[in-house]
Amino acid sequence: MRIVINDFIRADGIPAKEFVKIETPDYVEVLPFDRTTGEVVLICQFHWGVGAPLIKLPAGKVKSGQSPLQAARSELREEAGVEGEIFPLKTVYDIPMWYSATAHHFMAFVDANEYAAQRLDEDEEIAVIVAPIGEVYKAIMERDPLTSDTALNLAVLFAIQSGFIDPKFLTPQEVTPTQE
Amino acid sequence: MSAELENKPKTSLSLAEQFKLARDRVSWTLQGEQALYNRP
Repeated sequence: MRIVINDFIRADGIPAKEFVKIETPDYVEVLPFDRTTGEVVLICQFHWGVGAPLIKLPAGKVKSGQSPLQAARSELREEAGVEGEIFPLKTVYDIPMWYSATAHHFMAFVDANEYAAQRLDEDEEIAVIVAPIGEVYKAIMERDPLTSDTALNLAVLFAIQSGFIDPKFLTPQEVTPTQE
Repeated sequence: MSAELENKPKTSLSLAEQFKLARDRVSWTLQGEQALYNRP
């Protein structure tokens, strides 16, 4: 990561000074969805930017020599403990005023009950949450602060719009125990 | 309980209930802060 301060000359010739730019690696975010149970596999991680834990998607940087798809597969396994077929949703700039990075959003079809132990980096502390997509979608549409992470909102809405999620799952269901 | 079992998702709980449990497990406490750049 590199933090730089840029000076510019505007289009009208007026100097514009001291714009902070944060250069970070491109990164991936993955929405893991179980097409059989209608569940999503989310994570909860502390976010030092806002000083609080948030519900979010498995995510991470694209390491040197990796493709975004390879990074998505790795993060899905390492952070959420699941594996599956992965499809691109959309590539976006996240907070492009400050950050130079590109964010690649993916969808993954997983078996939410085939949970394996996470493979976390030393500086990671992450809890896994499995919930019906209908419950998450309802929380997003009702502006529940629980679902305040931008990528989570975008990925769920992209996935629905792209037809990756059967609409029958979008009505909140009774929470029923699955394989523990 | 092993870390693996402890972190296995409790799918019988609601999203909000799982978040409460998860939040308690992954909250960090600020120990120091250093400003790299202070814009006047």
